[in-house]
Amino acid sequence: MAELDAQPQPQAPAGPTPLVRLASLAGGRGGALLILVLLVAIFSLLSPNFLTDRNLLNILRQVAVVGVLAVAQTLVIVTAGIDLSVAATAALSGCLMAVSYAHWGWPEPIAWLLGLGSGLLVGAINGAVIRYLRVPDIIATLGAFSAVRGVALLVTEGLPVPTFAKVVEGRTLPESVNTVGAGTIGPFPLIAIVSGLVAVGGAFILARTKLGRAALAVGGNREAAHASGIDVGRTKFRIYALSGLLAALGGMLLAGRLSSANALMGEGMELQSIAAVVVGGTNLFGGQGTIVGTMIGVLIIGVLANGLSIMGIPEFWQRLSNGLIIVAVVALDQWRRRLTGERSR
Amino acid sequence: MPVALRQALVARGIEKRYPGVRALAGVDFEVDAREVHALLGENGAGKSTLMKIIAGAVVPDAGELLVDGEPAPFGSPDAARRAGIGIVYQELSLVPSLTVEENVLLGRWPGGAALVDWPALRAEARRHLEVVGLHASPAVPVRDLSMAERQLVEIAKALSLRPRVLLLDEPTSALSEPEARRLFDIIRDLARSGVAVIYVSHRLSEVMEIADRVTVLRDGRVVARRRTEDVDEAELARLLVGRDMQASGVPQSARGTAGGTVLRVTGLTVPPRLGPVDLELRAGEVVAVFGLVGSGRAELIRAIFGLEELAAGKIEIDGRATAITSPTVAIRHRLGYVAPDRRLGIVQPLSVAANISLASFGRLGRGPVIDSRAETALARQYVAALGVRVDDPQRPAGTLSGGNQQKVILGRWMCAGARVLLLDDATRGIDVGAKEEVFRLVRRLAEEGAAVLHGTSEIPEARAIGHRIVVMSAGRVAAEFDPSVSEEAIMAAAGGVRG
Repeated sequence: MAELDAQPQPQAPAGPTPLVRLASLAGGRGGALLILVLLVAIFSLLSPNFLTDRNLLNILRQVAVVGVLAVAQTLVIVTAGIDLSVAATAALSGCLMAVSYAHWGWPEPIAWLLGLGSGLLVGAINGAVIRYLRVPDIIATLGAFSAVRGVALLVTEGLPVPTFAKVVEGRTLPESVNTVGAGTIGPFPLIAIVSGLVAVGGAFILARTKLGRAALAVGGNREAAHASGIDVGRTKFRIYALSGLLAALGGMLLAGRLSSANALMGEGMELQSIAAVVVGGTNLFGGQGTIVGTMIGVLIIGVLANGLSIMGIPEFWQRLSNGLIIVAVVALDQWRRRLTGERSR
Repeated sequence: MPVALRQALVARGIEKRYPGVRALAGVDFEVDAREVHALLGENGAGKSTLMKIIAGAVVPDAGELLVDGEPAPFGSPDAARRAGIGIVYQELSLVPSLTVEENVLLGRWPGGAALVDWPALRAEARRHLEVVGLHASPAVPVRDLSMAERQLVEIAKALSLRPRVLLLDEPTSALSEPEARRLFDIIRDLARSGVAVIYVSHRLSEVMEIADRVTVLRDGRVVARRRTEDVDEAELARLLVGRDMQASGVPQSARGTAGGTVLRVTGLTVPPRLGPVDLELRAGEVVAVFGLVGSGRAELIRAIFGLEELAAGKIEIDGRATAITSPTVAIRHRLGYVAPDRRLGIVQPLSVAANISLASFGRLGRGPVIDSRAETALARQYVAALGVRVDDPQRPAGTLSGGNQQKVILGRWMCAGARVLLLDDATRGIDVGAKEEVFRLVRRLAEEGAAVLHGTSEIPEARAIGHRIVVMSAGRVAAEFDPSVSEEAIMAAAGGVRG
C-alpha cells in the first residue's frame, strides 16, 4: 500500500506581505462587498433619503429583474459562454404572455406557459446553434439579441400591450402577473422575493447539481471535461436552455412591474447582467463563479443608480459612473490577482 | 582533405543552472562554415537549453559565444538574429492567415511608414523561396500549405536574414520520407553555399545521412564529438544513452504475472502520424510504449481513448469489438487516460474533490443532485491512498504542485473504476520525487489487476516500469523488447534502425 503520508502541506506562499493581504481583502468577491458597503455608507451620508426602509425596499424592487437575468448569465458565463439575448428574450416572453392573454383572449395558465415556453425555446435554439452549427457563443446570442427583439416587435406590432383597441373582454395583464410584479408579502416586494428564490435555486444548481458541476468543468477546462466523459455540447445546450427559461421568468416579472409589456422593454439589461456577474468576481473565461458574488454585483449597480438619482444627479452622469465602477472593480481584482499570484482573468 | 575550415560559431564554457538542475555544465560547441553539424542528446540532456542560448532566448550563467570570431551578445533573440544566427523552430512561427510571401518577410515588409511596397516584397520573398524550392504559390495563405511546405517557408524566412548559422530543431518531425529527402537536399545546398547548419534531431539514421559531424550531449556535458564517417548508429545510440546509465537501469525484481487479454488493437490507423498498429494488453501488466516526438506514441494512446478519429483498425475489449468513438464510450468500458500535460487534465478552478470525481460524479447520488457527502468521502479516500499532499480536498486543484495534480488525475480514474489505464508521458515536467511516486502508484494499480499502457519518451523510465517495452517509430511498432534489453537497442529501434 502507499504510505498514508497525506500530511497537511498548504501550498500558499508563506507570510504574505501587508500589501498582498490588503490586496486579497480588496479584490474579488470580498472587494465587491467592500465597495457595496462603501457605496451604501457614502449615499447614506450624502442623502437622508437613502437609508430608509422605503428606499431600500425600492432598490430591491428595482434590481429584481436584472437579478434574475444575472443568475442566468452566471450559469452561462461559468461555461465560458455568454448570453447577449437574455433581455431580448425577457421582452419576447413578456410580450407573448401579455398578447396571448389580453389580445387573443387565451386563458391565464396558457399565457404563462406560452411566455415561459418561448424563453425556453429561444435558449434551446441558442444552445443548438452553438452545439450543432459550431457558432461561437457570442455570435449566436448576438444574433438572438437582434432576432428575438424582431419577433417581439412583430408579435406586438410595435405597440405596448395591452393596447385598448385590441384587448378582448376588457382584459389587461393576468392578475397573477400584476401580483408578482407589484405585490408584497409583509413589507417585502414579491418581485424581490421571487428574484431571491431564483438566486437560491441558481446557487444550488451551480454548487450541488450534476449540471452545475459539468458547467464548471466545461468552462474551467474544456479538454479535461471532454476527456473525463462530460458531454460538452449537451452541457452547453442545457445551460443555454435554462438561461432562456430564467430570462422568460425575468420577462414576466418585468411586465408585472410595468403593468404592461412592450417589445423594447429591458433594453440594456443584458449588459447590466454581464456587468453584475463580472463585478461579482466570476471569471469571464469560465470555470469559476458564484451566485452570491453576482448578487453583490447586482446590488452595487442598483445602489449606484438609486443613490445617484436620489441625489438628483442626472441620468447622463449615472451612465458614466456606472461604466467607471465596472471597470474599476475588475481592475482592482486584477491588481489583487497579480499581487497574490493568482491566474488573471 | 581541406584542413581547418573557418569556425562560424563557437560557444565556450556555457553554463546554465535552473532551480535544482544543472542544465549545462561548461559546454564547448563549435560549428564550421559549410558543414552540417548534428546536436544529439536525450530529453533533459541540455540540448534545448543550448539551442535557446544560441538563439538568444535564454541567458547563460557563464560562457561566451562567437559568430565568425565576433562576440555575440546573449539574451536577445533580436541581437542573435543581427549577429547572423537564424532559427527554424519546431513549433512553426508562421501566421496562418497571411500569405507565404508576407510570412517570409514578416515584420520586415519593405515600404514606407504606412504603405507596404508590395512589388518589392513579392520580389524579395520569391528570391528566398526559390532557394528552398517551394513549389506552392507564394500568394496563397500559409494555412493552405502542407506541413512540409510550411517547414520550407519557415526556412526561407530564416534565410531572408542571411544567417551565417542556421539552427534547425527537429525539422523532419512532421515530414514524410520523400519530403524529408528533399529537405536534406536543400540543407546540403545551404551548407555548400557557406552557411553553418546546426541540426537537432532524435533520429539517428537521419543524422548519419545529413550531418558531417555530431556533438553528443548528456547530463549537461559534451560526451562526444565525432565525424559521422567515423561512427555508426549503434555507437551513437551508446553515446547518447551512456554506459553508466545502462548499468543503473533498474530491472524490476517482481514482474507481475499477467492475466487475460483486456485490450487488443489491430490495424489501428490515424493518418498521417499513426499506423497501422497492433497491440495487446493484459490484466496486471504494464506495457511501456517508448516513442519520441512524432513517433505516433501520443496518437496511439489518444486513439484508444476515443480522442482521435480512426481511419482504420479495430479495438477489442475483453474480446469484444468495441467502437470507441469518444472518451465517454471509453470510460463506459472502464478505460482511463492521463494526458502528457497535467494542464490538459486538471480543471484548475475546481476543487481536488471535484477533480477526483470528474469522470464519475454522474453516478454520485441519484437524480440531478450530487451526493456531496459521498464525494467528500471518496476524495479523502483517494487523497490518502495516493498520498496527494493537500490539507483540504475542497482546495482548488490548481494550487497543487504538478506531481500532486497528476496524482489527482490518477485518483480520478481509480474513482471511476478504470481497469485499463492509458498514460501518455504522464510524468513529463514533474520533479523526480513525484515521478517515483507516480511510478509506484502505476505498479500498484497493475498489481491490483489493472492493465496499464505507459507511454514515455525516456528510456530508463520505459525499462524501469514496463513488463514489456513496445518501441514506436514513424507511426508503427518498430520493436518489442523484454525490459532487460539494452538502452542502445531501444534507442536504435526508436531511431529507425532495423535488425
